[in-house]
Amino acid sequence: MTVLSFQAPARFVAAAPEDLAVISRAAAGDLAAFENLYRTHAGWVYGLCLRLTGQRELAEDCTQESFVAAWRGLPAFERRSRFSTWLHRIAVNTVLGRRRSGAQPDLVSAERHAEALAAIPGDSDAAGPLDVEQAVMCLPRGARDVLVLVGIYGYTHEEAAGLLGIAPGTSKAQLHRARALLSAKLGLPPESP
Amino acid sequence: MSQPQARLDELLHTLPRFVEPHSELWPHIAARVQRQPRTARIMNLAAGLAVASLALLMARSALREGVQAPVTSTATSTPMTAASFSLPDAARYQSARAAMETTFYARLKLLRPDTRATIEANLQIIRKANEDIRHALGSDPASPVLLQLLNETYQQEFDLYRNVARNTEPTQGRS
Repeated sequence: MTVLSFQAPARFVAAAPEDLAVISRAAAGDLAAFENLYRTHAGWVYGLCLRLTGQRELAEDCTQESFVAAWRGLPAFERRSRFSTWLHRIAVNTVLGRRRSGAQPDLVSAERHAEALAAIPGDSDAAGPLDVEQAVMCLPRGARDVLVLVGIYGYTHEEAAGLLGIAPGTSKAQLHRARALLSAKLGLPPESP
Repeated sequence: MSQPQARLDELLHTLPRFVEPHSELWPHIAARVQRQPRTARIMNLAAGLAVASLALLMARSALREGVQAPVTSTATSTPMTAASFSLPDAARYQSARAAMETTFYARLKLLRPDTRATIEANLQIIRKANEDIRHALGSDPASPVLLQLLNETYQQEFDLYRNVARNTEPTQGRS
């Protein structure tokens, strides 16, 4: 028999300490408590949405939608997983839902990329975060999705595959492809297979 | 790890995971949540999930008291290995679930009849919650909250399978 369990992405776990009292108050309908949760987690959710969509405005819409969905779903939050993990899953599902509804075009214009990049803090040194960020945003969608979830936000391949509706093997292949493309864009030597 | 791989990882780790939204989003969110109170449907589904959680606890309790012994069946001693899943459309999920279910039903026969009945009744409660959420997803398939609730029922089902398997491990040889 196989044991199945949810594994909270390590980086999410370290992202923010959880205040169970605040979560309980928000679940009971306390809007001020929910604002507190928003202030703690909005940056993480927005960062994820921004990288998955590659568009600032759409990322803001998805962030809003994720928090509205979280508010509606909080009474059902069971605390089996961390609140941050639960919220980030909602955010990923929101972005993917928008994609399925056709709200997010396959190709994002250079102008939109520039806007998205401007939203991310960092310096403009050569091979600095913005160069890497730009290279990530230029990746094909499938490769970028996996790189963002696994390479940046710490999901396992199984979790990323489940969220994206692909097989874990495909997730691994997309990550390999993403890393190869990124290395080429950043002028790094190719990785060994 | 090769040097280029390490360098790429190093660069990826420099990316900020916390990115402040460009505009203040809270007023829009606050306005929307005040306009859209939690729906009765979500609350009902959440209540169903809470009952399912209770069912899981009851099943655990029944298991603690009702393991028949000694358990020495070789047909049911499939080793347990670690895996993880997210949503049930993953291929790995499907095969893992099938394996777990087979072992679960085989091990269930090793339990006392009253314990078995309790476990089966509680499994039905969890499955009913799952079915209700699936039904709700039919009219709102992209709902992140419903997807999350669905995920939780799967986790409950797996917890129950795992508990039965653990408590009837042949090597434990309880008496």
